Amino acid sequence: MPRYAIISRLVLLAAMLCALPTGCAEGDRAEIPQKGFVMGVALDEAPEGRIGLTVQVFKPSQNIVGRGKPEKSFINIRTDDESMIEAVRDITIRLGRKAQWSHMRIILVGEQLARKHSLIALLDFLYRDHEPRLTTHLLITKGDAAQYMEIPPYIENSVSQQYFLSEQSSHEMTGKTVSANLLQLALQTRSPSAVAMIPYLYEQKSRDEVTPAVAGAAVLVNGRLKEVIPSKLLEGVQLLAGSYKSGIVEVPCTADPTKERALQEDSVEVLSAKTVMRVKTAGDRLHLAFRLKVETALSELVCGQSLKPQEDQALRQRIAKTIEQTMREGMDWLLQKRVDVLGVGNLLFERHTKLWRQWKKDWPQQFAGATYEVHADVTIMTSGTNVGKPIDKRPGDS
Amino acid sequence: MVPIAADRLSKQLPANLARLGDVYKQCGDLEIKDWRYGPDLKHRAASVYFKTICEGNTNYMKSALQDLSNHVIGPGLDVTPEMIRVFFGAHGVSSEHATLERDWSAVDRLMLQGYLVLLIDGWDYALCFESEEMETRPVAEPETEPVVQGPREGTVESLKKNIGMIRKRMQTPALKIQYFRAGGHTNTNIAYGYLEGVVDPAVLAEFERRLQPIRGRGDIVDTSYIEEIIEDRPLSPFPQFRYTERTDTAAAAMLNGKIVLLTEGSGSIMICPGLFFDLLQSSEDYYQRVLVSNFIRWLRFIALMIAISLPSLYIAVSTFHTELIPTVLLLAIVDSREGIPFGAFVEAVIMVFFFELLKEAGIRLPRNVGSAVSIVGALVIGEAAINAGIASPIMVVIVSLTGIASFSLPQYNLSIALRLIQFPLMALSSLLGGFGILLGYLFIWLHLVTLTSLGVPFLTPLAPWKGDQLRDTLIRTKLPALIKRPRPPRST
Repeated sequence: MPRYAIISRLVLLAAMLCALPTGCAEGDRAEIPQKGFVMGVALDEAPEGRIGLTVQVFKPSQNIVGRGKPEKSFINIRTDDESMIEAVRDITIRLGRKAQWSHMRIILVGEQLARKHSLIALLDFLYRDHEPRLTTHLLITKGDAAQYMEIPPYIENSVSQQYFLSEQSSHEMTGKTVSANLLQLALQTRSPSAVAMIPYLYEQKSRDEVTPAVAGAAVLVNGRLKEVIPSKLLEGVQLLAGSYKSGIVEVPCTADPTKERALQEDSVEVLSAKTVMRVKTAGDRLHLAFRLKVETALSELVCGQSLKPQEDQALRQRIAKTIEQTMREGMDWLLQKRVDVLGVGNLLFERHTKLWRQWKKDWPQQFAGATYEVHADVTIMTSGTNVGKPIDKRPGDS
Repeated sequence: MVPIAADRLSKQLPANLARLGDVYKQCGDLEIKDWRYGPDLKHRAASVYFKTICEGNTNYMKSALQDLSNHVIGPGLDVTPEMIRVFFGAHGVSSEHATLERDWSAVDRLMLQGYLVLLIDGWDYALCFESEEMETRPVAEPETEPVVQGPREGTVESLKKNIGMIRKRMQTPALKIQYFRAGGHTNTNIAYGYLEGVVDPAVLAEFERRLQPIRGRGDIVDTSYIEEIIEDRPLSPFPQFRYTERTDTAAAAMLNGKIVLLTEGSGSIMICPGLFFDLLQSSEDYYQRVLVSNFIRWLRFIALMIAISLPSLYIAVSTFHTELIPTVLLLAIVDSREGIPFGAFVEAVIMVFFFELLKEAGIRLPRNVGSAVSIVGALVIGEAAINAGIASPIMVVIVSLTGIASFSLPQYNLSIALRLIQFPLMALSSLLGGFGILLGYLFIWLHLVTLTSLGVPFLTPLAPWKGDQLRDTLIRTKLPALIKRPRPPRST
């Protein structure tokens, strides 16, 4: 290679290195020990109408190799300010490290604050900044959000991670809560019906023990908290909305509601559920039709005898009835509270835009006046045993 | 060069011996033996040879005389100098390993190659018998290129044996072997071979043109000396030729139109031109089943990328792009990095440097001491460095993975090259993060596309694009497709 070629390349390299926006790159540059990794954020109302920020930062174990058990692997930093970004910047004053938001697991928002401010406006910083991910999940907490950050985690490194995982598995395994991240929140809030559902975190007392539990959902209308759906009803709501993943359906042996239910009910696990919602309009009337296809597996079989074809049919009927009942309860609650979490408004906007423009103004009233029908089609995929008889029954009992 | 007189031999034996004694003074291993023959043993002769390289058992004097007399035994009493002169002068040399020389230069050359020279008084010719006998290593499995399956025949330090092994594999007149001598003090015998009709004539002509400076005036100790003299870009970190110690690899390379070069006294066969993808191939690629060998080939490509860029990727990700690390892993890294006094770049440089040091120590040391080094080294860069707070466990993992990846490349000189490249890449990534790595890749790529080997572009089937040769580059197609393929001369 001729010498001038080498020299020109070196010059080019030097020029590129110098001319690069090194200042911008420098801003991002920080060794890992110079960063504080934010695991979770809790937002509350602070005195004088300010925003109280509680940031949970991961605390590395100081001993080399990471061996040994530190008592706590996170610390909480509290700052109050008028805006969220001011409060965020104040973290550095206390912590001495630059907050790194990319691995934030959860955002907790106190119920009080969520009722007062629009969540989207509140979290504007998280939507705008490049570090936080739009896939960060959110929870609305019963009472002050900050106190939930103080609870020691069971297994996870930080309680934020525990909430994140609880929300995921609660949604996916039990159907007792929804799943929502920043992106979904924004999409739902900015949709025509402007109703969003966010999982709800509360402290549950059972047998003298207070434990945090993620169940139920907070309903946000126009970004502000309006109602909280209890977990019992949420299963039905999710079945209607088509966001139900998996869960347990308890099917009582008799239809008589006064009978004792302990050990007097079969249980089935919902493997998959698919809902089709049809919106019919006639003049001023709104009618909703829900068709649900459920695939189930028997988890507990207590009532039945054996699964002969006609008994199998009867069991499927009972399951379908129960599921339909659950959906009805959910739907009644929604109509009563006038919250369209099912996205009926969005559907109207897409299909009957003209009508939607008429109804838009008093949409909650319109929605509340809707009639509906539910149909469930149940398939039993497996009984878990070869013959499908209750385990309790001996041969000859038939 | 030692000035060797080009003049003729003298008719007088004492004069010849004096000349020899003068040129080879203080050459302790030169043996000069006086003989007498003929009636009354009155005629003189002398045999001159280096006892260190010649076989001492055969009585060449006797065998020479046997050509003259009908009887086999006896001291040759009836042979006269006249008879010798007439016999050898008229009929030439009948003994198969003998030549007749009258120039001192030729005699000197032959003697140094292991010929025994017979000087007869009254005759200005020297009778030279080939009697070289040197101990060479037996043919064994090459230590640097072992295969699980396939031939285990490796080269030795004898040019003759090596070429013989190649010739045995390629029984065709198209296999051409050309010899020349390097001259200089070593006067090494060098041979290159190719398959006529397969090799690209332009490449061959270029190769021969570049060999010109070596002919007659170069001290060549090993094949690699020639590499540096004839390669296109000596300052490039990338090797432009490929080495092997396997004759099957050499044969396969020639079938692909390559030229092989061997030198006396070295087991390395140089395959030219060595293109980028050749350096990533191994003879075993063709001995394994096609799926397996493709898997292994891709493993190697990945190893190549790891060997170049894993430390720099770690630096970039941990100092610039922490959001790319999965949270659980990140927390583990954060835990392990806490309390390490150095930044990621310094830490990486320290660890890579110590790793290189250890590797070098392991190669140079005698084998029985070497194991001690590896034990101490494993403790030092593994456990102790972490416990002492010099490095984090993740860095040890990174450095060892990089090392393992570089070892898994079939060509040692390529893996050294990659280890060299990783340092500037690490510096770039610590300055500019992922962008810096990209910049580094860009420069490496620019270098690779401009690099040539014997005038053939280094990245050949890829850049320039040669669709038909891609069958054996990124993937290896089924062997029948490769073997049946007519091999037109490569166009450069």
